[in-house]
Amino acid sequence: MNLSFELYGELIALAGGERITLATATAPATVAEALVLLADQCPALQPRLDQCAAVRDTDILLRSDPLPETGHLVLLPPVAGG
Amino acid sequence: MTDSSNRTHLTEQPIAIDELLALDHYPECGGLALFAGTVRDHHQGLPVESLRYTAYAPLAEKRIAEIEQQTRERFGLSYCRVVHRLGALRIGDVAIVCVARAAHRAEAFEACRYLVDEVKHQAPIWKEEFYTDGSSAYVQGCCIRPDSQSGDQYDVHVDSHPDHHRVPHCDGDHS
Repeated sequence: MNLSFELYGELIALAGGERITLATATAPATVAEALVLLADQCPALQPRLDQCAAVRDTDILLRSDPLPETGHLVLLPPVAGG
Repeated sequence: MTDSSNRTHLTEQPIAIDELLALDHYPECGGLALFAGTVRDHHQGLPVESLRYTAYAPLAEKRIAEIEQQTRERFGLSYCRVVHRLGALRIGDVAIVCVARAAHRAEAFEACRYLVDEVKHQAPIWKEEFYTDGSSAYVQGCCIRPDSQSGDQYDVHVDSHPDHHRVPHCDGDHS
């Protein structure tokens, strides 16, 4: 399946783009498993991923939650508005 | 990356503060507290030339609306409103406006501070600073991951007074 990650904030500069797509032979079962694959593919993101919220649309997911069927996750680094 | 239509809490245009005050409404209110966060020319000892705000708009809109609702209920407000600016801002530009209207000043002041603190801690908005030497950096912020191992929590039912340093790395206060 194809996994896609939509990036925000400093993640864009670290990854060199706003979106990363990965092709995997088997679908990750959980959000956590998908993020392990992302870290393997994009080591520059690895130090930041632990502090990122993983989001489906407007729902913030737990690492133990099933990966959305779309294979798409939005990754939000620590926020700093105001 | 996001659709800018139907936004009520995020704007890429200068914020029209007067339109947010609702002065022709809520005659029961005797207190109006207004906070406007402006871009200053320094941060942690570094000279700042400009800022750029970005957001994950779908969730930012949702969270700010929820924060407004929580604030109205918590402080018994008749009205409150938050608008955050996005895009490139210069020194002195208004980045965020929070308005709280209540029967009396005490609730209005307290609610206004609560509004801005909660938005800073919870809304997925990022601030990139551009310094006078040509370098830039993202301001370190607050983790909104609900199961973070560092103890940070995404909590829509905050029951304690917000602290500017509620989490160890939540130190990017620029307002």
